[in-house]
Amino acid sequence: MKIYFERTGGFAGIRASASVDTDTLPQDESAQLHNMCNNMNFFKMPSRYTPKNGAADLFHYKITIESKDGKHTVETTDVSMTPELEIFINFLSEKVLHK
Amino acid sequence: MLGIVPPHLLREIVNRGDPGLKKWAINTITLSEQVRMTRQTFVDTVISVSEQKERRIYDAKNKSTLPGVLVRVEGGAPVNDPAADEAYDGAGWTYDLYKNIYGRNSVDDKGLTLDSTVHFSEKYDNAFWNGNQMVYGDGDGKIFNRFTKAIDVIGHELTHGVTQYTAKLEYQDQSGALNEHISDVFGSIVKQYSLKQNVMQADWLIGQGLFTPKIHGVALRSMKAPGTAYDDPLIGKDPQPGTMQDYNDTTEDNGGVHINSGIPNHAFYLIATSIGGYSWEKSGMIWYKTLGLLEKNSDFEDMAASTFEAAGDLFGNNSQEQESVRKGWNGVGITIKK
Repeated sequence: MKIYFERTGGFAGIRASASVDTDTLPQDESAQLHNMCNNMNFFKMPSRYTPKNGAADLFHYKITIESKDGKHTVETTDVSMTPELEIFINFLSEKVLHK
Repeated sequence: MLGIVPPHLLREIVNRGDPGLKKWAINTITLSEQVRMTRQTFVDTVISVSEQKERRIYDAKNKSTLPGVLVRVEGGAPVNDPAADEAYDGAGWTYDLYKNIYGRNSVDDKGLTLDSTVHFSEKYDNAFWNGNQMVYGDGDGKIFNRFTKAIDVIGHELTHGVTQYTAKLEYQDQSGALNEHISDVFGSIVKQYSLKQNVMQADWLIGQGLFTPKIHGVALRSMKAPGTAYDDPLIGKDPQPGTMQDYNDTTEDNGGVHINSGIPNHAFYLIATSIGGYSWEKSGMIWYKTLGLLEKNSDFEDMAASTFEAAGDLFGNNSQEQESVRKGWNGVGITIKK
C-alpha cells in the first residue's frame, strides 16, 4: 500500500509532503497503518471535508492511497476531519513529516 | 420590576448601561421566568456582548476539542503558563488597537468576547481562526516554538475575525491573499503599537521568534523584503513574491493565499514608510477604512483602488498621503487607474 501525504497552508504556508510504501516499513507500523485505513474505510470516504466559512490559516491535508483495492484521495482540514482521520493524520505527521 | 421590562430592553441595558444598571439587568434577566433560557446560556450571551474588553483563555490540554478548559477570564491574574498569558495579553493589545485607534468594539464591533485556545493538539505547528475563536499550537520544538510567542500572530488571527465581519474576503486566490494580507498588516501594526515603534523602528517581520534557533530564518514573512524571511534545508526558502512580476499562480494553499500576500504586504510597507510616523495612525487608518470598501471577491487591483479612494476620503484628493498610496502600489507593479 502506497500513501502520499501532503500538508499545505497554515499560518506559515510551508508545504510538507512525503510518501511511504508500507512494504518498506517495520511490520508493526505497516500493520497499524493498514488497520487505520480499514477501520475508517478509507476508500469509501468522501473526497473532501470542507471547513465552515470564515476559518483561516487551517492546515490543508491531502492523502492519496494506492493499493490493490484501487486509488483514492481525501482532502481535509484541522477542523473538518473525522476523529478516525485525525488519528491517521497525527500518525502520518509524526512518522512521516517529523522524521 | 420582574417581568415588566422586556428581555430585549434588558439586554440593551446590559450593553449600554453603567456597571450598576448592568448588574441589575443581568440579575433581572437571570431571575425572570419569562426568559426561556438557562442561566448559563444567558451568562454566555451577556459575556459575548460587551462594551468592554472581554477575553477568555482556554487550554486544550494537547487535544483537539475546542474550546477546552477555561483557565483565565477578563481581569484574572496571570496563570504562569506563557502560552495562556501571551494569548491573553496579545488579545488585549489587539482589542485596544481596534478600540482606541479605530473605534471598533471587538471583531464584530458589538463587543464579541475574544476566545483563545492554547496547547491545541500535539506538537502542532500552527495557529488559526476557526470562524469563532483563535487557536494556538505549541510547535514541535524542532522547527517551531509556541505560536503565541509572536504578538503579530495574535493580531493576525483576530484580524481574520474582523475581516469576517467586514470585507468578508473569500479565502481563495487574490481575495484570499488579501484576507491574509489584511491580517499581516494589522498583526504587524499590533506589534508596533505594543512596542510604540514608528515605521522606521519596526522590523516589518511576521512571526519573528517562532522559529527555533536550529532554523535558518528570522521570521515567517517579511513585508519589507518578501522572499527573504527564511532559507533552510529542512523547510525550504521563503516563497513570497514582492511584485506582480513574480505572482505565483498555484492551486495549493487555496491558490497561494500565504504566498501572494507578499505583494500587497510590500505595497503597505512602501506606503507606510513613505507616509511615515506611526503605522497605526495614517496608514493603518487608510487600510481600516478600505475594509468597508472591499467586496468578497475583490482582487489586488480593487484593493489598490480602494486604498486610493480611502486615502482621498481621509486626507483629500491629491494629498501627499494619497500620492504615497499610488506610488506604493506602483512599486509592486499595480497601477491605479485614476
